[in-house]
Amino acid sequence: MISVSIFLIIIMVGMGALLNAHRLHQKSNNMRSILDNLSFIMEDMSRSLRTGYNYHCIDSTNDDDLFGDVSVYSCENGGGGISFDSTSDPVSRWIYFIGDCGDNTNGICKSVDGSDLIQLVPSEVTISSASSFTVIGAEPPPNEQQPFVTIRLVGEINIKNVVTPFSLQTSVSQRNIDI
Amino acid sequence: MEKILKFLFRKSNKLNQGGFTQLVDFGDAISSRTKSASPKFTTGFTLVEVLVAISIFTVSLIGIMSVLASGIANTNYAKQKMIATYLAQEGIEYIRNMRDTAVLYGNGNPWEGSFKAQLSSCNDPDEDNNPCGLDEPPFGVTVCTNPSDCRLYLDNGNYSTTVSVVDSGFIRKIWMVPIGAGNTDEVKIFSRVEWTQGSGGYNVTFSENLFNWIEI
Repeated sequence: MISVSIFLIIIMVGMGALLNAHRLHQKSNNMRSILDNLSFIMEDMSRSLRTGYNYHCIDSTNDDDLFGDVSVYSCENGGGGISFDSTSDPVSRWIYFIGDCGDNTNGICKSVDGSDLIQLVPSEVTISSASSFTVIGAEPPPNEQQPFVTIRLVGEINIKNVVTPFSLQTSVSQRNIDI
Repeated sequence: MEKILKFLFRKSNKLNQGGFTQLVDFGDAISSRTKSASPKFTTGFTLVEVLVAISIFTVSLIGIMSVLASGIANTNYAKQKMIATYLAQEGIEYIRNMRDTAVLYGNGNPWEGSFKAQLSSCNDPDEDNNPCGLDEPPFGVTVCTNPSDCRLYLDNGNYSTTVSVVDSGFIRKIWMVPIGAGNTDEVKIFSRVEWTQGSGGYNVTFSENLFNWIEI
Protein backbone atom coordinates (compact mmCIF):
# COMPACT_ATOMS: atom_id res chain seq x y z
CA MET A 1 0.00 0.00 0.00
CA ILE A 2 2.82 2.41 0.93
CA SER A 3 4.77 1.41 -2.14
CA VAL A 4 1.80 1.93 -4.44
CA SER A 5 1.05 5.33 -2.85
CA ILE A 6 4.62 6.54 -3.33
CA PHE A 7 4.60 5.25 -6.87
CA LEU A 8 1.33 7.01 -7.69
CA ILE A 9 2.47 10.32 -6.20
CA ILE A 10 5.73 10.26 -8.10
CA ILE A 11 4.02 9.31 -11.34
CA MET A 12 1.45 12.09 -10.95
CA VAL A 13 4.13 14.70 -10.25
CA GLY A 14 6.16 13.36 -13.15
CA MET A 15 3.21 13.44 -15.53
CA GLY A 16 2.52 17.04 -14.47
CA ALA A 17 6.12 17.90 -15.25
CA LEU A 18 5.82 16.18 -18.63
CA LEU A 19 2.67 18.10 -19.51
CA ASN A 20 4.35 21.37 -18.51
CA ALA A 21 7.33 20.41 -20.61
CA HIS A 22 5.05 19.80 -23.57
CA ARG A 23 3.43 23.23 -23.11
CA LEU A 24 6.85 24.90 -22.88
CA HIS A 25 7.97 23.08 -26.00
CA GLN A 26 4.95 24.39 -27.89
CA LYS A 27 5.60 27.95 -26.73
CA SER A 28 9.22 27.65 -27.70
CA ASN A 29 8.18 26.41 -31.15
CA ASN A 30 5.73 29.28 -31.57
CA MET A 31 8.39 31.76 -30.51
CA ARG A 32 10.79 30.32 -33.08
CA SER A 33 8.18 30.69 -35.85
CA ILE A 34 7.44 34.29 -34.89
CA LEU A 35 11.14 35.16 -34.70
CA ASP A 36 11.59 33.66 -38.17
CA ASN A 37 8.68 35.75 -39.37
CA LEU A 38 10.14 38.95 -37.89
CA SER A 39 13.52 38.15 -39.39
CA PHE A 40 11.93 37.62 -42.79
CA ILE A 41 10.09 40.96 -42.59
CA MET A 42 13.29 42.76 -41.60
CA GLU A 43 15.22 41.07 -44.40
CA ASP A 44 12.49 41.82 -46.95
CA MET A 45 12.26 45.50 -45.98
CA SER A 46 16.07 45.85 -45.98
CA ARG A 47 16.40 44.35 -49.43
CA SER A 48 13.56 46.40 -50.92
CA LEU A 49 14.96 49.62 -49.46
CA ARG A 50 18.54 48.78 -50.45
CA THR A 51 17.61 48.28 -54.08
CA GLY A 52 15.00 51.06 -54.07
CA TYR A 53 15.52 54.82 -54.44
CA ASN A 54 13.77 58.19 -54.14
CA TYR A 55 13.13 57.79 -50.41
CA HIS A 56 10.59 59.96 -48.63
CA CYS A 57 10.21 59.80 -44.88
CA ILE A 58 6.67 59.75 -43.55
CA ASP A 59 6.67 61.57 -40.23
CA SER A 60 4.12 63.46 -38.18
CA THR A 61 4.12 66.31 -40.72
CA ASN A 62 2.78 64.23 -43.58
CA ASP A 63 1.37 61.00 -42.24
CA ASP A 64 -2.16 61.89 -43.33
CA ASP A 65 -1.12 61.80 -46.94
CA LEU A 66 0.99 58.71 -47.44
CA PHE A 67 1.40 58.95 -51.20
CA GLY A 68 0.58 62.57 -51.99
CA ASP A 69 3.08 64.60 -49.99
CA VAL A 70 6.57 64.04 -51.27
CA SER A 71 8.03 67.28 -50.01
CA VAL A 72 9.60 65.57 -47.00
CA TYR A 73 12.76 63.62 -47.80
CA SER A 74 14.88 62.95 -44.73
CA CYS A 75 13.96 62.68 -41.06
CA GLU A 76 17.00 62.37 -38.81
CA ASN A 77 14.81 61.91 -35.75
CA GLY A 78 12.85 59.10 -37.35
CA GLY A 79 9.40 58.84 -38.84
CA GLY A 80 6.62 56.29 -38.71
CA GLY A 81 7.00 55.23 -42.32
CA ILE A 82 8.87 55.46 -45.59
CA SER A 83 7.82 55.62 -49.22
CA PHE A 84 10.18 54.81 -52.07
CA ASP A 85 10.37 53.67 -55.67
CA SER A 86 10.88 49.93 -55.81
CA THR A 87 12.96 48.41 -58.58
CA SER A 88 10.27 45.85 -59.20
CA ASP A 89 9.06 45.50 -62.77
CA PRO A 90 7.26 47.81 -63.53
CA VAL A 91 8.65 50.39 -61.12
CA SER A 92 6.11 51.03 -58.39
CA ARG A 93 5.77 53.24 -55.33
CA TRP A 94 5.99 51.26 -52.11
CA ILE A 95 5.19 52.26 -48.56
CA TYR A 96 6.20 50.72 -45.25
CA PHE A 97 4.30 52.23 -42.38
CA ILE A 98 4.26 51.46 -38.65
CA GLY A 99 0.80 51.73 -37.18
CA ASP A 100 -2.74 50.46 -37.55
CA CYS A 101 -3.28 48.81 -40.93
CA GLY A 102 -7.04 48.74 -40.39
CA ASP A 103 -7.21 45.73 -38.10
CA ASN A 104 -6.93 47.73 -34.85
CA THR A 105 -3.47 46.40 -34.01
CA ASN A 106 -0.14 48.17 -34.26
CA GLY A 107 1.97 46.44 -36.85
CA ILE A 108 3.97 47.02 -40.01
CA CYS A 109 1.85 47.88 -43.03
CA LYS A 110 2.85 47.65 -46.65
CA SER A 111 1.17 49.26 -49.63
CA VAL A 112 2.06 49.13 -53.31
CA ASP A 113 0.95 51.95 -55.62
CA GLY A 114 -1.82 53.09 -53.30
CA SER A 115 -3.32 49.67 -52.67
CA ASP A 116 -4.83 48.81 -49.29
CA LEU A 117 -2.40 48.50 -46.39
CA ILE A 118 -1.31 44.91 -45.79
CA GLN A 119 -0.37 43.79 -42.29
CA LEU A 120 3.02 42.08 -42.37
CA VAL A 121 3.37 40.84 -38.79
CA PRO A 122 1.34 38.02 -37.20
CA SER A 123 -1.30 38.81 -34.60
CA GLU A 124 1.01 37.74 -31.72
CA VAL A 125 3.37 40.63 -32.48
CA THR A 126 2.69 44.21 -31.40
CA ILE A 127 4.93 46.91 -32.79
CA SER A 128 5.34 49.88 -30.46
CA SER A 129 5.48 53.56 -31.36
CA ALA A 130 9.22 53.60 -30.55
CA SER A 131 9.75 51.88 -33.91
CA SER A 132 10.83 54.15 -36.71
CA PHE A 133 12.46 54.67 -40.08
CA THR A 134 15.29 57.20 -39.96
CA VAL A 135 16.17 58.60 -43.38
CA ILE A 136 19.38 60.55 -44.00
CA GLY A 137 20.57 62.18 -47.20
CA ALA A 138 17.49 61.45 -49.32
CA GLU A 139 17.34 64.99 -50.75
CA PRO A 140 18.30 65.31 -54.40
CA PRO A 141 21.66 66.99 -55.25
CA PRO A 142 23.26 69.35 -54.26
CA ASN A 143 22.79 67.35 -51.02
CA GLU A 144 26.12 65.56 -50.56
CA GLN A 145 25.17 62.36 -48.80
CA GLN A 146 24.42 58.90 -50.15
CA PRO A 147 20.90 58.01 -48.85
CA PHE A 148 20.89 55.92 -45.70
CA VAL A 149 17.91 54.40 -43.89
CA THR A 150 17.85 52.96 -40.38
CA ILE A 151 14.99 50.61 -39.52
CA ARG A 152 14.11 50.18 -35.85
CA LEU A 153 11.51 47.64 -34.81
CA VAL A 154 10.54 47.68 -31.15
CA GLY A 155 7.68 45.67 -29.74
CA GLU A 156 6.64 42.54 -27.98
CA ILE A 157 5.59 39.01 -28.80
CA ASN A 158 2.62 37.75 -26.82
CA ILE A 159 2.13 33.97 -26.89
CA LYS A 160 -0.56 32.76 -24.52
CA ASN A 161 0.10 35.58 -22.05
CA VAL A 162 3.86 35.11 -22.12
CA VAL A 163 5.25 38.45 -23.25
CA THR A 164 8.71 38.65 -24.85
CA PRO A 165 10.00 42.10 -25.75
CA PHE A 166 12.30 42.60 -28.72
CA SER A 167 14.25 45.45 -30.24
CA LEU A 168 15.68 45.05 -33.73
CA GLN A 169 17.74 47.55 -35.67
CA THR A 170 19.49 47.55 -39.00
CA SER A 171 20.48 50.08 -41.64
CA VAL A 172 20.70 50.10 -45.40
CA SER A 173 22.66 52.25 -47.77
CA GLN A 174 20.98 52.90 -51.13
CA ARG A 175 22.74 50.94 -53.89
CA ASN A 176 21.79 53.38 -56.66
CA ILE A 177 24.37 56.12 -56.91
CA ASP A 178 22.93 59.38 -55.59
CA ILE A 179 23.48 61.61 -58.62
CA MET B 1 -1.18 -33.61 -10.98
CA GLU B 2 -0.97 -31.59 -7.80
CA LYS B 3 2.74 -32.39 -7.53
CA ILE B 4 3.42 -31.22 -11.12
CA LEU B 5 1.63 -27.88 -10.56
CA LYS B 6 3.48 -27.25 -7.31
CA PHE B 7 6.80 -27.86 -9.10
CA LEU B 8 5.92 -25.52 -12.00
CA PHE B 9 4.88 -22.59 -9.77
CA ARG B 10 7.89 -22.99 -7.54
CA LYS B 11 10.01 -22.65 -10.67
CA SER B 12 7.92 -19.67 -11.88
CA ASN B 13 8.36 -17.87 -8.56
CA LYS B 14 12.11 -18.33 -8.75
CA LEU B 15 12.17 -16.88 -12.27
CA ASN B 16 10.04 -13.91 -11.23
CA GLN B 17 12.33 -12.82 -8.45
CA GLY B 18 13.99 -10.18 -10.70
CA GLY B 19 10.73 -8.38 -11.76
CA PHE B 20 7.43 -7.58 -10.13
CA THR B 21 6.88 -10.15 -7.45
CA GLN B 22 3.77 -12.21 -7.78
CA LEU B 23 3.52 -14.39 -4.76
CA VAL B 24 1.19 -17.28 -5.26
CA ASP B 25 0.62 -19.62 -2.45
CA PHE B 26 -0.39 -22.44 -4.70
CA GLY B 27 0.18 -25.14 -2.26
CA ASP B 28 -2.78 -23.95 -0.26
CA ALA B 29 -4.71 -23.08 -3.37
CA ILE B 30 -4.25 -26.47 -4.89
CA SER B 31 -4.89 -28.23 -1.75
CA SER B 32 -7.82 -26.01 -0.93
CA ARG B 33 -9.26 -26.17 -4.42
CA THR B 34 -11.28 -29.07 -3.31
CA LYS B 35 -12.47 -26.95 -0.38
CA SER B 36 -12.80 -23.47 -1.99
CA ALA B 37 -13.11 -22.24 -5.65
CA SER B 38 -10.69 -19.23 -5.53
CA PRO B 39 -6.89 -19.48 -5.05
CA LYS B 40 -5.24 -17.18 -2.53
CA PHE B 41 -3.04 -14.57 -4.38
CA THR B 42 -0.77 -12.23 -2.46
CA THR B 43 0.22 -9.76 -5.20
CA GLY B 44 1.88 -6.24 -5.18
CA PHE B 45 5.12 -4.23 -5.46
CA THR B 46 7.87 -4.33 -2.94
CA LEU B 47 9.48 -1.02 -1.88
CA VAL B 48 12.67 -1.89 -3.75
CA GLU B 49 10.73 -2.42 -6.97
CA VAL B 50 8.96 0.91 -6.56
CA LEU B 51 12.26 2.68 -6.00
CA VAL B 52 13.72 1.06 -9.09
CA ALA B 53 10.66 2.08 -11.14
CA ILE B 54 10.82 5.65 -9.82
CA SER B 55 14.53 5.85 -10.61
CA ILE B 56 13.97 4.76 -14.19
CA PHE B 57 11.09 7.22 -14.56
CA THR B 58 13.15 10.06 -13.04
CA VAL B 59 16.12 9.40 -15.30
CA SER B 60 13.87 9.49 -18.38
CA LEU B 61 12.22 12.68 -17.09
CA ILE B 62 15.58 14.35 -16.53
CA GLY B 63 16.52 13.43 -20.10
CA ILE B 64 13.39 15.05 -21.48
CA MET B 65 13.84 18.12 -19.29
CA SER B 66 17.43 18.65 -20.36
CA VAL B 67 16.43 18.42 -24.03
CA LEU B 68 13.67 20.94 -23.37
CA ALA B 69 15.98 23.30 -21.50
CA SER B 70 18.46 23.25 -24.35
CA GLY B 71 15.55 23.91 -26.75
CA ILE B 72 14.52 27.01 -24.82
CA ALA B 73 18.14 28.17 -24.58
CA ASN B 74 18.46 27.70 -28.35
CA THR B 75 15.36 29.83 -28.95
CA ASN B 76 16.91 32.62 -26.86
CA TYR B 77 20.18 32.16 -28.73
CA ALA B 78 18.31 32.43 -32.05
CA LYS B 79 16.74 35.70 -30.89
CA GLN B 80 20.06 37.19 -29.77
CA LYS B 81 21.79 36.01 -32.93
CA MET B 82 19.11 37.58 -35.10
CA ILE B 83 19.61 40.96 -33.36
CA ALA B 84 23.40 40.59 -33.60
CA THR B 85 23.22 39.70 -37.31
CA TYR B 86 21.26 42.83 -38.15
CA LEU B 87 23.60 45.00 -36.07
CA ALA B 88 26.63 43.49 -37.84
CA GLN B 89 24.99 44.06 -41.22
CA GLU B 90 24.34 47.66 -40.17
CA GLY B 91 28.08 48.08 -39.52
CA ILE B 92 28.91 47.02 -43.08
CA GLU B 93 26.20 49.23 -44.59
CA TYR B 94 27.43 52.21 -42.54
CA ILE B 95 31.00 51.88 -43.86
CA ARG B 96 29.70 51.29 -47.38
CA ASN B 97 27.69 54.50 -47.11
CA MET B 98 30.84 56.34 -45.96
CA ARG B 99 32.67 54.96 -49.02
CA ASP B 100 29.94 56.01 -51.46
CA THR B 101 29.55 59.47 -49.93
CA ALA B 102 33.33 60.02 -49.88
CA VAL B 103 33.88 58.80 -53.41
CA LEU B 104 30.91 60.75 -54.79
CA TYR B 105 31.46 64.06 -53.05
CA GLY B 106 35.03 64.07 -51.71
CA ASN B 107 37.71 66.32 -53.16
CA GLY B 108 41.09 65.40 -54.63
CA ASN B 109 41.62 61.68 -54.23
CA PRO B 110 38.47 60.87 -52.21
CA TRP B 111 39.21 57.15 -51.85
CA GLU B 112 42.50 57.77 -50.10
CA GLY B 113 41.92 61.26 -48.72
CA SER B 114 38.34 60.96 -47.51
CA PHE B 115 37.40 57.31 -47.09
CA LYS B 116 40.58 55.46 -46.12
CA ALA B 117 41.81 58.42 -44.07
CA GLN B 118 38.67 58.24 -41.91
CA LEU B 119 39.27 54.55 -41.30
CA SER B 120 43.04 54.79 -40.88
CA SER B 121 42.75 54.48 -37.10
CA CYS B 122 40.84 51.19 -37.52
CA ASN B 123 43.40 49.84 -39.98
CA ASP B 124 44.00 46.45 -38.44
CA PRO B 125 45.74 43.77 -40.53
CA ASP B 126 45.99 41.53 -37.46
CA GLU B 127 42.22 41.61 -37.16
CA ASP B 128 40.33 42.76 -34.14
CA ASN B 129 43.27 44.33 -32.27
CA ASN B 130 42.38 47.87 -33.12
CA PRO B 131 38.63 48.05 -33.65
CA CYS B 132 36.40 51.10 -34.00
CA GLY B 133 32.88 51.94 -32.97
CA LEU B 134 30.41 53.79 -35.19
CA ASP B 135 29.42 57.36 -34.37
CA GLU B 136 25.87 58.61 -34.52
CA PRO B 137 25.43 60.38 -37.89
CA PRO B 138 27.12 62.55 -39.20
CA PHE B 139 29.13 59.54 -40.22
CA GLY B 140 32.43 58.74 -38.58
CA VAL B 141 34.26 56.17 -36.49
CA THR B 142 35.97 56.29 -33.11
CA VAL B 143 38.72 53.93 -31.96
CA CYS B 144 37.74 51.76 -28.98
CA THR B 145 40.67 52.07 -26.60
CA ASN B 146 39.09 49.33 -24.53
CA PRO B 147 36.34 46.88 -25.56
CA SER B 148 33.68 48.65 -23.51
CA ASP B 149 34.04 51.70 -25.79
CA CYS B 150 32.48 49.60 -28.55
CA ARG B 151 29.55 48.64 -26.31
CA LEU B 152 26.09 49.33 -27.70
CA TYR B 153 23.51 50.95 -25.46
CA LEU B 154 19.80 50.80 -26.06
CA ASP B 155 17.83 54.01 -25.83
CA ASN B 156 14.18 53.82 -26.85
CA GLY B 157 14.86 51.24 -29.56
CA ASN B 158 18.06 52.90 -30.76
CA TYR B 159 21.30 50.87 -30.54
CA SER B 160 24.31 53.20 -30.37
CA THR B 161 27.62 53.75 -28.61
CA THR B 162 26.17 56.83 -26.91
CA VAL B 163 26.16 55.88 -23.24
CA SER B 164 22.68 55.49 -21.78
CA VAL B 165 21.06 53.64 -18.90
CA VAL B 166 20.28 50.38 -20.71
CA ASP B 167 23.22 48.24 -21.79
CA SER B 168 22.06 46.19 -24.78
CA GLY B 169 24.60 43.43 -24.03
CA PHE B 170 26.11 43.72 -27.52
CA ILE B 171 29.57 44.98 -28.49
CA ARG B 172 30.14 45.97 -32.12
CA LYS B 173 33.66 46.21 -33.52
CA ILE B 174 34.52 47.49 -36.97
CA TRP B 175 37.94 47.25 -38.54
CA MET B 176 39.57 47.49 -41.94
CA VAL B 177 42.24 45.42 -43.67
CA PRO B 178 43.76 46.88 -46.86
CA ILE B 179 44.04 44.34 -49.66
CA GLY B 180 47.42 44.51 -51.38
CA ALA B 181 50.40 46.75 -50.67
CA GLY B 182 50.53 50.56 -50.86
CA ASN B 183 47.63 52.70 -51.99
CA THR B 184 45.35 49.93 -53.12
CA ASP B 185 41.85 50.30 -54.46
CA GLU B 186 40.46 47.53 -52.29
CA VAL B 187 39.85 47.13 -48.57
CA LYS B 188 38.15 44.44 -46.56
CA ILE B 189 35.78 45.65 -43.86
CA PHE B 190 34.94 43.49 -40.85
CA SER B 191 31.95 43.99 -38.58
CA ARG B 192 31.80 41.82 -35.49
CA VAL B 193 29.02 41.80 -32.89
CA GLU B 194 29.75 40.00 -29.61
CA TRP B 195 27.43 39.11 -26.79
CA THR B 196 27.37 36.93 -23.70
CA GLN B 197 24.59 34.46 -23.03
CA GLY B 198 24.47 32.00 -20.20
CA SER B 199 28.04 30.96 -19.51
CA GLY B 200 29.29 31.39 -23.06
CA GLY B 201 30.44 34.22 -25.29
CA TYR B 202 29.16 34.35 -28.87
CA ASN B 203 29.86 36.51 -31.88
CA VAL B 204 28.75 37.13 -35.45
CA THR B 205 31.29 38.47 -37.93
CA PHE B 206 30.47 39.89 -41.35
CA SER B 207 33.00 41.06 -43.88
CA GLU B 208 32.79 42.79 -47.22
CA ASN B 209 35.35 43.89 -49.78
CA LEU B 210 34.92 47.51 -50.83
CA PHE B 211 36.47 48.96 -53.96
CA ASN B 212 37.37 52.40 -55.20
CA TRP B 213 34.80 52.43 -57.98
CA ILE B 214 35.53 55.91 -59.31
CA GLU B 215 38.18 56.68 -61.90
CA ILE B 216 39.95 60.00 -61.37
